[in-house]
Amino acid sequence: MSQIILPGDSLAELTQLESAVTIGPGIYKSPRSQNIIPLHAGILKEVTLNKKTQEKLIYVDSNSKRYIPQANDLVIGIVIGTYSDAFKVSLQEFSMPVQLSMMAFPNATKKNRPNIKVGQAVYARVSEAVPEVATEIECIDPETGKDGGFGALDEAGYLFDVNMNFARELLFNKSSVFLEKLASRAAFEIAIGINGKVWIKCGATPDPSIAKEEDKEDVDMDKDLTAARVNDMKMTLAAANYLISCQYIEAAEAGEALKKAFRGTTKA
Amino acid sequence: MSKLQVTLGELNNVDGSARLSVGSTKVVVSVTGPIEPKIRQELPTQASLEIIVRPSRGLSGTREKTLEDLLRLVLQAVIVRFKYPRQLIQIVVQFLASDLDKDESSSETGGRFNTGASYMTNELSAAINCCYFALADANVALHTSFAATSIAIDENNAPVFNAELPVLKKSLSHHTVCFDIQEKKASKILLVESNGAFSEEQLLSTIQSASVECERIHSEVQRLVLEKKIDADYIWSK
Repeated sequence: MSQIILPGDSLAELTQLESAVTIGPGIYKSPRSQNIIPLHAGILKEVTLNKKTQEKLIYVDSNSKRYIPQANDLVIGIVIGTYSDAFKVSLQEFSMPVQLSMMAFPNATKKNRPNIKVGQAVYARVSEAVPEVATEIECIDPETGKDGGFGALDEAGYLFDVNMNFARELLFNKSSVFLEKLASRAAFEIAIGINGKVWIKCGATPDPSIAKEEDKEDVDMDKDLTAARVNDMKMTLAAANYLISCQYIEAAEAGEALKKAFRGTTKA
Repeated sequence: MSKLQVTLGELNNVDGSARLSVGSTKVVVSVTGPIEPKIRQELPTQASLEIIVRPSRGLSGTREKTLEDLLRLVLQAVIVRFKYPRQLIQIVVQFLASDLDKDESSSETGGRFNTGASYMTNELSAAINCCYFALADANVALHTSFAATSIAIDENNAPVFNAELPVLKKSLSHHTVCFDIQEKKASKILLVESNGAFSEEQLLSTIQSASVECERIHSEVQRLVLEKKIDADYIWSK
């Protein structure tokens, strides 16, 4: 169930029910009037949380270009500086930078610091987001204490921006066709930050530094590897172009966009 | 009555933008925010607003400062500023064309561009309406929708909406009225800016007709433009 809603529209029908209603993003309880109001022009969505009690969640889904951190968001940030015990990470240009503590890595101790340089991209989880104080992110799975897929992203990948509503679709909608279609064409590794940044890497050619040590004398092998890496890069860029173009088309046209983006690349 | 024409999101490097034209007034508004403010702009509990008005030609002067102040009155009341403590929302209003441009060489203005704070009702109402679209495009939290209109009362005591400059000059008085719109109805007055001689009765009837016009703008323009935008944003979910 969804309908388009604008600021100023009434939510009385939904909020004055007998069953409990949970309000989500885009909906606000005005402290002065105690009214529950929509804040954005977007799609009003209702989710029934509990069939028995008819408990409901309502929220407004809308596209925006500016990311506002929320706790437990999965984000991609770029390290822009280091303090004595933390990294300064930018989640978006001109937004407030967030903090990534050096202790927020698996197995980190005061002596064993994570090896991350300025300019590197990291995949992280927002651990604390109170608007009044500096936001914090961490590269550790809070349940297991292991890396859980977080951490520095490989520089052989490609980092690009998409609309934030599209990033949410890719990350949360399990029945979305776009990534499935891409998987039919190429093998890839992807990290989706809901701050609108996506990192993607196609192929699985060994890292150049490792490859060098092993195949020092084998020149032919080296050539093959270089060719494979160039091909991987081509595929990565094609995959990025495909995802960027997917933002502006209907789901049914995904196949065509895939063909267009991968024109000129060889099948992996 | 001239038509409001709006396009959204023409500027790529800002968070939200809109271009609006009504009569001979054309305006582009960009919204960036919430972003990191300069230290002197930072407010500990709420968002600070930086509003910049630029004229269609020449440098900004007292006229633009007046417009900035009036816009601030309206925008302060509608933006949910407590949602973004310590942040900055930057709003730039750039006029592309105004009545004065068209009339610049006429004998009435004596070739002078700057007429002070009078005769800016069209610019003010266009700027307010355009700000609404730009803020909605930027997804800035708003308490309500809002719309503004400009009304001149001509010699025959009849209201004229969005009057051109020659009509404005002959009119007895002219007014800019901005309403907030709740549940598709004009509910509270956000701004009334009047110029000229008028009676209380005239003012009240002007506000009455303005409320009808604001409701019309909301239902016939704002709703359609934003619905189209949301459809385009979610085109892949079809």
